[in-house]
Amino acid sequence: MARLTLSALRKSYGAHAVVHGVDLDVADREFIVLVGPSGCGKSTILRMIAGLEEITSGSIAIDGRVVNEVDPKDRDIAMVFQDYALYPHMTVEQNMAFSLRYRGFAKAEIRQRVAAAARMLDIETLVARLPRQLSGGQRQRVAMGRAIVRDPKVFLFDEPLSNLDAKLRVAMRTEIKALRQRVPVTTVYVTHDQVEAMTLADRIVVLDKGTAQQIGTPEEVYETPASTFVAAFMGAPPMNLLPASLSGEGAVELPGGTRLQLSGASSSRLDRAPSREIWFGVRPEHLVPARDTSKAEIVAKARVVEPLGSDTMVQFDLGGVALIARMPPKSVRAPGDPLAFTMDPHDVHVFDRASGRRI
Amino acid sequence: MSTRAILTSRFFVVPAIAIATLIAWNLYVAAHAHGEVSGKVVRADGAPARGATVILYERNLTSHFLEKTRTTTDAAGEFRFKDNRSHQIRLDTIGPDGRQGQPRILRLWFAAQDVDLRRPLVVSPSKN
Amino acid sequence: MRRRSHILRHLVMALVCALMLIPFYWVAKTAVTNENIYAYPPRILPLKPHLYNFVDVWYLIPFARYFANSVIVSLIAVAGNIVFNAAAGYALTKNFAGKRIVVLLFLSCMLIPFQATIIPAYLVSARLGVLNSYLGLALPLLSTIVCIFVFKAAFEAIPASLQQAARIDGLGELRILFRIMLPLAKPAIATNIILSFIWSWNAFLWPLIITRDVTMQTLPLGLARFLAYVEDTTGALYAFVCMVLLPGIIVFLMAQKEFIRGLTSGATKG
Repeated sequence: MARLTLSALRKSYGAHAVVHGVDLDVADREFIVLVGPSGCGKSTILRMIAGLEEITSGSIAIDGRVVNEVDPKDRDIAMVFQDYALYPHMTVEQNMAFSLRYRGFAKAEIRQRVAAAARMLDIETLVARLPRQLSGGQRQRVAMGRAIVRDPKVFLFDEPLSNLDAKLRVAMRTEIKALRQRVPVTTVYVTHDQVEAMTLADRIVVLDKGTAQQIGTPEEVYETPASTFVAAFMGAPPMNLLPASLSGEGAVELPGGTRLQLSGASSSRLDRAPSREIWFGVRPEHLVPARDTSKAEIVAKARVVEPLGSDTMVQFDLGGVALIARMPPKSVRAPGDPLAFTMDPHDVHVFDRASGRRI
Repeated sequence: MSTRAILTSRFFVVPAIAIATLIAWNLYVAAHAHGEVSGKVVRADGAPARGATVILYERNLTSHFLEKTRTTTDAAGEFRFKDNRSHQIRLDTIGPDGRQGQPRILRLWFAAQDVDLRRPLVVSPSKN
Repeated sequence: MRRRSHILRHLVMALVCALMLIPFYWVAKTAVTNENIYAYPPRILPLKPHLYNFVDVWYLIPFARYFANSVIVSLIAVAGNIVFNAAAGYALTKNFAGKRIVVLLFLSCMLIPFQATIIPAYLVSARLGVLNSYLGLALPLLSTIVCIFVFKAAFEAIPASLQQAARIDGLGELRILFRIMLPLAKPAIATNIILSFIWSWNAFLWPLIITRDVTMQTLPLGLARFLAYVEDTTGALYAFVCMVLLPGIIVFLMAQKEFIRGLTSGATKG
């Protein structure tokens, strides 16, 4: 049970900086997901927390104790690696007991902890096996079991599901979530998969090029993305982003000549825009099919229709920009069908064109 | 690695067999190394040669045989040495009449091995 | 058709094997007879084979003593090779200042033949006071550069995450080496055992120089002594050769699977 504090954390390899000052305060028992594309520095941050990478500047504190110079073994953390890093020459039981043996636990205590973890993860029948005799999902469980028996202050997960096939990944994701409710420990979880981030996190840290673009709950990140990067990264399919311009009094001019009137709070925000040039963003599910074509804000023709069963994804062009809309099933059948959408002014996003920041 | 895996690995089994064989061999040697060489001397016609002299030679490093000891056969033509220490010996015989028999070289499996000659030594071989 | 080519290939390989084994066969054959090796025409099958030549060897020289000396020296050399080479190889997988120079030094030292270093080696041994001792006999063989690189290549093939997991699990570098890396580098260990065993078992020049007492001599020296003392002992000489070779062959046969894997993995990675 511990708090984890990163302040102005930086990492550079020679002149090449990969983490540019990240601040993060992880509350006790909070589940934080670091998400971003490859090369955004998320794994480096995790490895700095683990003590596997030197910290260039800034500090990491666990429960108020700065651990910059503390050995990994003395930080009281446990880590689940992308490739699980199970010791191939030891059985499941030995793998799970290994760290306890070097921490001076009594044999009975070790046995009891390993048995409890094995029961929790439903791998009791596998304890005598070697890692190579296990499937990917079973190895994943053992790797988590090895972390659980330690009862550490902080759990670290480094893309734990990325080596699994799609179906198993979904199953394991659910299991991690369920496990999380039984073992509520401060956790930092790294992934490049925004679905994992959304489903697991208490708070998400969206990283790009070594800086935190946004830190917030999944809802905040999804509903009020702080930048075009976050907007495009979180959500599948990603948010539609169109180059647009402000024409005063809460009006937005979209490509193709469409004018959209924003009202209320959103329109007053627009006055603070540094420039008239903006990105206009709307999520595919917020393009609402209009009952009355004459009142529609966007009128177009379907270009590609992708029925998914539960929804139908429709691609269309607006003033030369490709957009995508999530529509009810069977509402559009074939390319060339006419489309008409309205938008709720509360569901649209406006970003500064130059900085990409939310307005 | 479990004890069982170690015990069944060839890195344990082969040396273990080697050591076991060695111990068994040494026990056998210890039980049969009294230096007793016994046999019988007969005349050419097969009758026991009483009073024949049997000389025991031992081989030394430079491949020569040196006389170690000698004895005389009893009424049944039998003789017995009790202090052979070599692994390669030669037995010469001289009949009561002073004629030399055919010398016999014995190569033993270990020094001072107890041997009982199956084929008797023959003195005064007939020269038909 | 395919099956026939398979058989054919095996036949050819068996033939080549037989060709390679002829010298061994000849040694063994001569050892169980007393045949002159220059006899013409040569006899393929031994005539009246017997094992007494081995008995002769046993008693003509203090074979047991030499054998024990050889075994002790080889065990020290093998143990030293595993411990020191593994430690050095593990260190070389890490990044540290001057690593390139160290590697360069290692590689250039491989070019120096042992004969060239024998005088300094002798002086060092004398200063350490290990002349005429088992440790002194094994000392120059305690670590070999080739085997350091065999270990380095083997360790580099082990995923780095295992080391990191072990560090988080609370192991120091030495324990990581002996608990995690070595058990996963069995082919490299086998390679080390075989190579260092053969080298120390066959060593002649160094034992010749460093031993003073006859009782401290090893088997190769015994062979030389044997030749000097005993003339006209073709059979006994070959029997002696067999007795010297046998332990090496046994060790090789026991570890050959790992040995070959170790050499090839070292070849592709290092």
